[in-house]
Amino acid sequence: MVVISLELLTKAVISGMVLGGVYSLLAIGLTLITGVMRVMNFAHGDLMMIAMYVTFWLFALFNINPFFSMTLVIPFLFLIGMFIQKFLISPVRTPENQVLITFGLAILLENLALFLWSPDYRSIITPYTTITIHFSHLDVGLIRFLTLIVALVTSFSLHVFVTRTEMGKCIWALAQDPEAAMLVGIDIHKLRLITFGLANALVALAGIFLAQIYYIFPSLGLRFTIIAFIVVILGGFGSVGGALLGSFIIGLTEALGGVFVGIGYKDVMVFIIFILILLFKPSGLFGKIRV
Amino acid sequence: MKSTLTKKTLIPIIIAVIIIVAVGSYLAVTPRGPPPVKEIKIGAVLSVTGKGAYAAKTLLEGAQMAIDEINAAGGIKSLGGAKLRLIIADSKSDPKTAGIVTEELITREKVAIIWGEYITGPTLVMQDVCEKYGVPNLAIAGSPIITERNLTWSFRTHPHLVYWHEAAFDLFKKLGIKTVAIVTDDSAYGQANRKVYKMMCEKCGIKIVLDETYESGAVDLSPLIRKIEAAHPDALLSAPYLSDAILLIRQMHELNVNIPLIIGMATGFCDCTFWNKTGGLGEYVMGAFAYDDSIPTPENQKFVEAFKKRYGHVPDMHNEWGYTDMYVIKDVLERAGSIKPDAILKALKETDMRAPIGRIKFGPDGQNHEIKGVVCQWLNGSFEVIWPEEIATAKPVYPMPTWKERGA
Amino acid sequence: MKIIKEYITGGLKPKSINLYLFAAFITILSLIPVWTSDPTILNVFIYTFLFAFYAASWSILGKYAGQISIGHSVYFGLGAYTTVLLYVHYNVSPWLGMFVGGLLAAMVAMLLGLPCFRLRGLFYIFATLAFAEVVRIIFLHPLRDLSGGAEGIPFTIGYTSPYYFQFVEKWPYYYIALTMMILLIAGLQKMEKSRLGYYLKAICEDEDAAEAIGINVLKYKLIAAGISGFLTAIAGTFYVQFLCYIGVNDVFGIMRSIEPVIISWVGGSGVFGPILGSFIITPITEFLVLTLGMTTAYGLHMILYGAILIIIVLFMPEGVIKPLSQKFYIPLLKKLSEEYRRV
Repeated sequence: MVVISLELLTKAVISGMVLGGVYSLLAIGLTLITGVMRVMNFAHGDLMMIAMYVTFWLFALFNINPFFSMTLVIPFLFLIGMFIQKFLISPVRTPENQVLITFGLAILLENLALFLWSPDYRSIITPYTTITIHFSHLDVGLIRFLTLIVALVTSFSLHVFVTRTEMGKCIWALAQDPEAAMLVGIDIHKLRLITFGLANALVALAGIFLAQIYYIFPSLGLRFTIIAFIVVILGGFGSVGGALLGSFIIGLTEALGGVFVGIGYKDVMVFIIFILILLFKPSGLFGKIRV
Repeated sequence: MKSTLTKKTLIPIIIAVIIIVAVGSYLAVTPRGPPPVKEIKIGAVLSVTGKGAYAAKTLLEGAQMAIDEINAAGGIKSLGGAKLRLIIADSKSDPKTAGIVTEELITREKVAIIWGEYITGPTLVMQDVCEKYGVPNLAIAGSPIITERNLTWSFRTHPHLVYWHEAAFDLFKKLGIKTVAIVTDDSAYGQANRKVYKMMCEKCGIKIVLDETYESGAVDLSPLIRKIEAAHPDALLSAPYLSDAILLIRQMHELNVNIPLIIGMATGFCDCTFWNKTGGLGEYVMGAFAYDDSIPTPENQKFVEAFKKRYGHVPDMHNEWGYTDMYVIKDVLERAGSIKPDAILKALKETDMRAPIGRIKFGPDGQNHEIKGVVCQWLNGSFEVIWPEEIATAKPVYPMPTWKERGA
Repeated sequence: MKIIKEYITGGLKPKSINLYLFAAFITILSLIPVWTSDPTILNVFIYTFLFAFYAASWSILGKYAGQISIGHSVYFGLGAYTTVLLYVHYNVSPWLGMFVGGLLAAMVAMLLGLPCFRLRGLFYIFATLAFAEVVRIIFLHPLRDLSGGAEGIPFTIGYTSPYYFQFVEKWPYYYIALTMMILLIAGLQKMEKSRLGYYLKAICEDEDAAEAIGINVLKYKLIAAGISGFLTAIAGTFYVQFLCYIGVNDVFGIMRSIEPVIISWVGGSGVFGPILGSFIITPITEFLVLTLGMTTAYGLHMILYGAILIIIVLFMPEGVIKPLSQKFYIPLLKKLSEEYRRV
């Protein structure tokens, strides 16, 4: 049995927060999609996988540092997002069909990656992927820590975007009530294209960071899709703050559950917390938009 | 009556027709009779897609090279120079699919031998199919259960994990390891290793201070690593796949956790790309298996040279396993002089040949008991044999220098 | 001769036409093992029937009651494990074990439904997934000595024994699966016309309205859940008895939960939706592996599988059954029945 010390507890909490940061980047994109467009995008994790591969190849073939390749990867994924929205999602009316089609897309992307790039595990090693920040006797990997910062900054920026800018407010209106938005003259189709593209861009950002702390292989998508969904449902659709809070809850549950119950059970802990929260708050923590 | 034939319904129907015609013609055209003995088909059932895909790829690298060599050297002489042909079927890491494709390979492709699988679940199902049809099977999974079932038609050329553990624990005895942390993943392979670890610890009187199972593919192993740190074991006993192996070492470095000895079983730490993929952080990590590219058999030296030339890196145990199994098949077919299952079975039972890994000879349970495990350690970016001493190419470094001492 | 022709083109009721068509369907399927003993063809048909059965069982909860569950692997696995463990430890015949497993699954389904049915939409869906994963991990870790863990338990006996539900030949499995599917089709058709069926339809249309007119929504949803769970457990039992192997990640895996959903949705609504869905998806999946999956184009067959799913959804959004019935079934009905023409 592990002795519960304050030190261990602190370390676990830090791990949890950092992990939450990683998850939140992933979830912010998804909450936008589910909140605004009521679409369950089952290909979310696989799109991140594609972003990770692009980042990797830019690094392996042309020696482009991941932080620079952001300028290429993010717009690329943005365009892919718009493409998917236009040709795959909007032609399909019902949510069930949207799930089915994104599921088909997920399988297609995973095996396309397998076909093109083989099942080898890839990693990106740069001089700073091994840097650790030491703070008294706490240690956090630099990139993981950066991910947390970026996640917070991105959430904040997104919040500002949605509440202050014209386009952002239109997106929010669309999320609240599509019919009313249409009546007010908002071009919903164009807006949906942009939202999906934006969500994908966020996923690309998540992928760029994840590619430096994790390893890259074709089948990594599904697990992240599920995590993203758990976070989004927990936090409430369309709520960026909810996505943040949800990811921290999940991250902390994993970390604390991992330390104090057993790492084999961390997923069980997450699911139990998930179920419990839903039972007491059926629309999620900040759920304003009913699905 | 108004025509209901619109473009919307026409396209999927056309697609359906194309698929039906393609499949039907495949089924109609594929021959059903006995194959001409110009070519001997070997059915390889592996996880081309799915979670076993990486292992399948490395196994096939070795196998493909062997097949090419064998065919270039004239094929199977006793069968008129018949060439070997590997027919690869995807099991999708799924037992049900493995069963279906195995049956297809046996009944339609009329393969002489079924090779595979690497993952326990599909292997167990495939063994049953081979047993039912009376077709020889060379299994690749590492778990003891494969040959403990004592089936007639199933064989395994390489030692299962108990042998690797025995070598490792001999080393532990010499190094004076007293306490260990056992950390395994939730796969069949991980759990089989855990069972054997516990058994060996009990046998050798080593105290287990931590016994944790993690989920393969986790993004963050820091809770686990913290617990390992808190437990202060002399050695960390594990059996990770390459993916988790990379993450584990990188995070141990990140969290500045130092354990005097880290060892994994086959795969993972033993993978030839492990050191590179961790950026050298994998230095001093140990791995136990039964093969290393420096094993001093003449067959091995030839094999390693040829492999390096073809693929640009030294072979690891999966490459060698695939290679050796094809040569075992060649040897068996040569002695059988026929592709009849009974002849092949008899030849299999009588096998006694030398391969890069050592002597191949099957016991009554279909398992090769002749090969002992070896323990290797990453030293200067190269996976050196450190145990047994007779074939060691380097001395074990224990305890491992700390991250600080390494300047990492 | 002329009289017969007249009778056929004019006088048949739609109901008897359906019966004849169904009888023809059963007859053709029953004759297949007589016509061929090709194991691959029989394998594909057996799995087609099994997954048709499974998808139809799922649809009782997922379509008729409108509660889309992506956690049905719980019942599948519970049925399978109950049967196998009762057999391995107590020598109980799987025929009995199957029934016990079914009851257990039904109870779990109803217990799960109690708290979860008040979750709407995506919340319910993911709650079912969460629960399924929890059960899977429980069988994987704390119960690993019982369940065999990830390695699983192979339990072939190597000879035919009806008592132990294991056959060396394929045709017994074929006919059992076919019978299961037929009985379920008949049962579902009865259910549609029964009180349960009508209430479920009302609930599905508008839950609040149904509640308002006095239907005990929760009660009927629970009944649907129980039946769905029970039947799914039976499907799980058949699956492992055919494979003669049970593994935690195989029977409790996510794919087992997703498969019936895909099949039901691709197929469409009604009793025959899931059936048709399985007749399309299962053979396509297996033949893709058997053809392209046996080439060196690694992964191509799965790429095609994903592409086919996408194409089906894009061109047949209401499932395959809609255009198929419009193109073939309805014109056939019209031709054979004057009564239907008048409608």
